[in-house]
Amino acid sequence: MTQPWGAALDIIFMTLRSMVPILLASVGEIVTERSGVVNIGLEGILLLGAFFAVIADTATGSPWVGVLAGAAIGLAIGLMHGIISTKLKGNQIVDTIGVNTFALGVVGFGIFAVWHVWGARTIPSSLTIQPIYIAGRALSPMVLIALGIAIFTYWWLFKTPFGAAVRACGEDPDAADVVGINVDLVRILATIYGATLAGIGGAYLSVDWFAGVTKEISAGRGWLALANVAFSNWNPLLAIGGSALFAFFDALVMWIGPMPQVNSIIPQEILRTVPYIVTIIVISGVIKRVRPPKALGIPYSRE
Amino acid sequence: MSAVIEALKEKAEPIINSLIALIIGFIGGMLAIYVSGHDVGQAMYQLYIHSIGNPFENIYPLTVTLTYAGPLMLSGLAFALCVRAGLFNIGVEGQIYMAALGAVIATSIVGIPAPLHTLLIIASAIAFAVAWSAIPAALKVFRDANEVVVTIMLNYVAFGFVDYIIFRYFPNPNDATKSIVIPPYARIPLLVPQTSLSWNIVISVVVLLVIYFLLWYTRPGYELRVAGTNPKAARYAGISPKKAMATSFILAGLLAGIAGLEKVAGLPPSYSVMSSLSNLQGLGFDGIAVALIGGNHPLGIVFAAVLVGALHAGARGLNLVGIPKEIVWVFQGIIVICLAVPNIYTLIKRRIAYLRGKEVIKE
Repeated sequence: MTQPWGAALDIIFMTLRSMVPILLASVGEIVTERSGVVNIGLEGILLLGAFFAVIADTATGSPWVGVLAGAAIGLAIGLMHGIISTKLKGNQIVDTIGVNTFALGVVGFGIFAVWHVWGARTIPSSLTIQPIYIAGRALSPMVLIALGIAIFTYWWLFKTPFGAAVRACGEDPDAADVVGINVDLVRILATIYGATLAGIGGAYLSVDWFAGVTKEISAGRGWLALANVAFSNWNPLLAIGGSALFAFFDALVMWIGPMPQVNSIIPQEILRTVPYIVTIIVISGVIKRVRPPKALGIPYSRE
Repeated sequence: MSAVIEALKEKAEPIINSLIALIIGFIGGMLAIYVSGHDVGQAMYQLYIHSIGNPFENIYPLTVTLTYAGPLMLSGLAFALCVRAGLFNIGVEGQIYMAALGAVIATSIVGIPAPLHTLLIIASAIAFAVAWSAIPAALKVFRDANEVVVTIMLNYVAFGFVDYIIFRYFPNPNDATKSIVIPPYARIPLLVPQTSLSWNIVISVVVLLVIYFLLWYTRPGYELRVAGTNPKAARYAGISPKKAMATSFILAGLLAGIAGLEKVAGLPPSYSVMSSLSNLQGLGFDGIAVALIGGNHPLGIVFAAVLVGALHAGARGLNLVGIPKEIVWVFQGIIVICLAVPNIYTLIKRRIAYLRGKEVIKE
């Protein structure tokens, strides 16, 4: 910490580490919202993903199976939310509020039911995803995977026919229907894609970053991701920058928080609220200029 | 005659929908208990005897249920009111923290006469909650910021600030787990002696009826509801949806203020804020479930609050047999997910008819 370059690298690596769950959840949600469905259950899916990943990890001894389990629970929630948002013409905000509540219940109850401990379960580092080393610092391969997924998603959403179909469903479902796109099916698939990525992000929290699961492990990152979707103007590449910004404040707080000279000025409790305050400023300052998909949140029905 | 029956059926549908959601929620919750290896029958028995029991022999379980129901009615109504104006206000949780902070700060002031001090505590709690609610209101009206994200973020911010300020500046000198206590003269008195049931429940019901009257029988209330259901039509009729939004946010803050006050000044034995705000946490979120179960209608909310209150009261019994109280959120979560589906009753009815082959369904 005495050398400024070392400190800067520390911050960059911490930012990369904090960025993964926000990036995965926001890239997924971008696809979901581009198709015309909104999912505010990201926070709950992160939490569920983290919990089920630890169960699968400890059962099989492989953190990658844990990641698959996180993806699976995300997929299941996405399928449910997709059907409710399309075929059943449900209220997309209400059912995902339910998902968040359900997740709080399942994880709070489940941690005790499965391991007979209150509130937190840690795993040995042998059960976590092994880091790779760059510049003498540990870096999770999940960072690279998340960045790869973001770039792939950009290409897929903007350069392929399927991506065009997704965007058409969110902008003008009537026109999409006329040219033979199955609007409901596309929306369900896009919702599954989004929720699955959030589930993987949740698994990353527990079987990689924090080496364990707690009731509060998601800590608002699902909501940061939701804010980032609009901040990035529904663009997966811009979402990388947005996630890095949100993650930077997260990392900064974690980095300077424990320093005594900082603590004497600002207590840690207050410092911890900084990322949330930044989010409020960002979404009320910037987001006026962006435009959400036209048919966002409206179930499609043929006239 | 058949027209009357049809009209009644229409009125009954939302209630039937809520009942179906409740049943599915209970089945899901029991399934979770079963999967975790607990005795479901024993768990349900505990849930029942700790929330209702036999009121003719022992009224205590019921008073616990009503103790929970009081503040829940207000936090539920706060959410419902905003839904009526077209907003999803998730910020009641943080506003309740702020109300508690306001009450504690006012409590710390010494040397003023008791009646004045009481008034000051009430005013301060409500003012803090309303002020906190004014932030998302302003950001929504002037910057069109997404109220869901803003209010959630404000909840996190409120938690950090309130927990820090209370336990840094107003800790209880005799008990490190709580804040300074509300003076006896400013407490909301008990309704049933030797229980935890205070006048909270009466205050809540009265406030709820007042809001019901305002919303359904006055012009501003009507305008607020129209602005929420059909903003376009409202604008043509000269009603400002923005004004309706701001009004509902401020009213929600007021309700959250009273709810917070009830938790801090009307709940024995603590009459204070507990560390990590543990006696306040979740009230705002549970209000969302209460509002949705109650169909966002003040009268439905009365019943929904008693029901969710019973779940919480019963959860104390579940704790005794080793089931964490978070199980309540499994029930609530599934119920809310089901409530998102409109006309779940009609869907099931059609599906059954379809399976019987009696009716051909057209999508």
